[in-house]
Amino acid sequence: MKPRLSFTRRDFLKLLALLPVAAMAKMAGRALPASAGDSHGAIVIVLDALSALNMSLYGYPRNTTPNIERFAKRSTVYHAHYSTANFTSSGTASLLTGTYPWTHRAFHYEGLVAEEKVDFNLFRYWGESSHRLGYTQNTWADLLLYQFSPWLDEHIDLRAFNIEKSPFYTDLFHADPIAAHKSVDSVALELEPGVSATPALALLRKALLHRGKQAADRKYAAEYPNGIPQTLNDVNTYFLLEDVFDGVKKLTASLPPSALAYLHLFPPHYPFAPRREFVDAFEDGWQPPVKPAAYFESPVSEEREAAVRSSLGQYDSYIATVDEDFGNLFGFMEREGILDHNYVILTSDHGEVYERGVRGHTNQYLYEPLIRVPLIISSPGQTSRVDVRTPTSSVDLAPTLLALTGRPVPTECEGVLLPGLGGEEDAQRSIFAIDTKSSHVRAPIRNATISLRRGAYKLIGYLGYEGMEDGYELFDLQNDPGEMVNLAASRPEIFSDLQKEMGDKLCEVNA
Amino acid sequence: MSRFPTRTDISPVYSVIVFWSYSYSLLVLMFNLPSWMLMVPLGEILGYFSYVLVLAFLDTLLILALMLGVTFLLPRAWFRDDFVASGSMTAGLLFFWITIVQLAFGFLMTLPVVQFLVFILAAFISLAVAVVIVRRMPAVRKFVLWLASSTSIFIYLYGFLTAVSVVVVLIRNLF
Repeated sequence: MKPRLSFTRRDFLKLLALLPVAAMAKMAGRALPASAGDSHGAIVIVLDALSALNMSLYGYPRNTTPNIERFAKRSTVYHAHYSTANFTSSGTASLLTGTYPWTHRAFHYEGLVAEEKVDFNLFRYWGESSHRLGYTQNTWADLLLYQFSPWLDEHIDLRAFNIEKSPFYTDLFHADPIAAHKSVDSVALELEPGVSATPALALLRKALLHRGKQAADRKYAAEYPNGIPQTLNDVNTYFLLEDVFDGVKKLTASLPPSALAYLHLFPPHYPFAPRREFVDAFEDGWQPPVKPAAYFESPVSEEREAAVRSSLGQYDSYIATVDEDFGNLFGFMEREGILDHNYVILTSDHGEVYERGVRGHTNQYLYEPLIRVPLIISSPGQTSRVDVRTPTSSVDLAPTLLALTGRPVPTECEGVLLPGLGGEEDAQRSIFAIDTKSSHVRAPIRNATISLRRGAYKLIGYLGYEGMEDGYELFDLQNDPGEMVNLAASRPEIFSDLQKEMGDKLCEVNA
Repeated sequence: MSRFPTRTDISPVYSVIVFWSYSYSLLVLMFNLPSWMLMVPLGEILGYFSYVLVLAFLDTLLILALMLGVTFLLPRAWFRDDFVASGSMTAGLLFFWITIVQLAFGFLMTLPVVQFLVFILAAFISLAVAVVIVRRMPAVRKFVLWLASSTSIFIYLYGFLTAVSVVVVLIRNLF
């Protein structure tokens, strides 16, 4: 039987009554800013030079991060998260732009995002309708914040919470800080390694800094027996870790709803300044396994390896010190309800290495300790821990935050949404990292170390180094997480497949 | 004021300071040039040069002030009365020692106090010996005076560059 369509007068009146509601809904939709799909904010905390491989959260045998583990209990923990580079400028630029170094072009120490790419930044994408705050203690990251300052509502001075506040580029040349830093701080008054263009002034600066630091070291010797924390990179200011974290607490508490805060702290970057209770915390006799020499190093003698490893304990101690202060910050954010209204992200810009005859991160290597960084994201209202083990990249953070807060993800972003936060797990996804400090920012990349992680395998290519043939290292990270055995010769199929992908990618980005 | 040298005496000594100081600054700038060329356009690099040259000017004033301070403190006969020759001789050596101390500052600060004092004493003795040499050896004195006279051109050359640099720095910071 054919259904009978009936539309009574009563039905018509009902529909008529709905009209004003529909009109109001439409108006309300228009009144909302484009970015207000989600009123939650985001607080990105970057701890400089924190390698995931030295964190007990990720299975390190020393108990370096018990407080971060507490934070992780209500967060999504990424176990194979990679920075795109092995030093601050490149890694930070990727975090803030969602692009790989071959796109943002911050290749060098003190590197900047290419002029035509400066628009591609998280602060601009976040939108004018929400508050955007940037703070870092690291000068090289501060240069990037200056680049993005047109889209920052608040750019906190990098010495805001430090003890030493003597004038330099941010005070004297506030209108031209990047050029002033690169010439005045880095060349005229260079502190390290010391080849200053104006020796008398530089000597005066060094002497004043030294005198102030010595006095502060003496004053706080009970708390910091190895000296109080300080920054490097030509602006050697010193500070108390607790002061900086107190400052960060104030900043997070003052954020309006739906704000974006980028907070980039210098510790646990070298020089290590652990607090008294952690100074000897890891004098436990434990030694990590001995690994083969790094690619460009000659076979490493026992003495040299011992010298390299001698810093590892202090690095771990400093991580534990930072972890304690992060624990206080976490408790504060929990008490103040900040975690209920914000995505809180803990990550790093790059890692650190103390093995294979290599120390620190000022080198051309992309081994796991140098690029595996933590990524822990606490979502508003999250109460339990989620673990994601598929590889992810620091270029994923910007698009994920934008998507989570209802903002459109720009096509310029090279990352994808993080699994567990809107994205799908893709175990076969290709993740890259690159170190190309000798390349010109406007020329094709000819000389680089590139790493490609896909599935269980990781290929590291040493390409275009002067006087050397291109070389490769292939590791099976599932069965050999310590990158002990180079499989480049014994797994020719996998090797050639990854080598081809790496070559194709290089051709693509050089096109 | 009589403890200070006259302006006519200061001028050749300052020209020696300018010669050493600016030449060294330019050398360090050239050392940084290749890495800057990888990163920034030429116009920006010239901006960096401007900042450094302004600082180099202040550096020369600081060194000169140091020398005048020493002149003021020492008996007239020791330094003030033969300021052109003695000052020109010690200016280069003082710049050398400042550069060395600045370069090795971190190392020097780790030295025991006695060793550090020996180092400083050695620097002072070398300066004193230089003054004695310039007074006792006519050939050296002649050469030093010739150098002081010849380097006066650098006051004009570097002075012009500094003036341009000051303008560039002011423009970059005021507009």
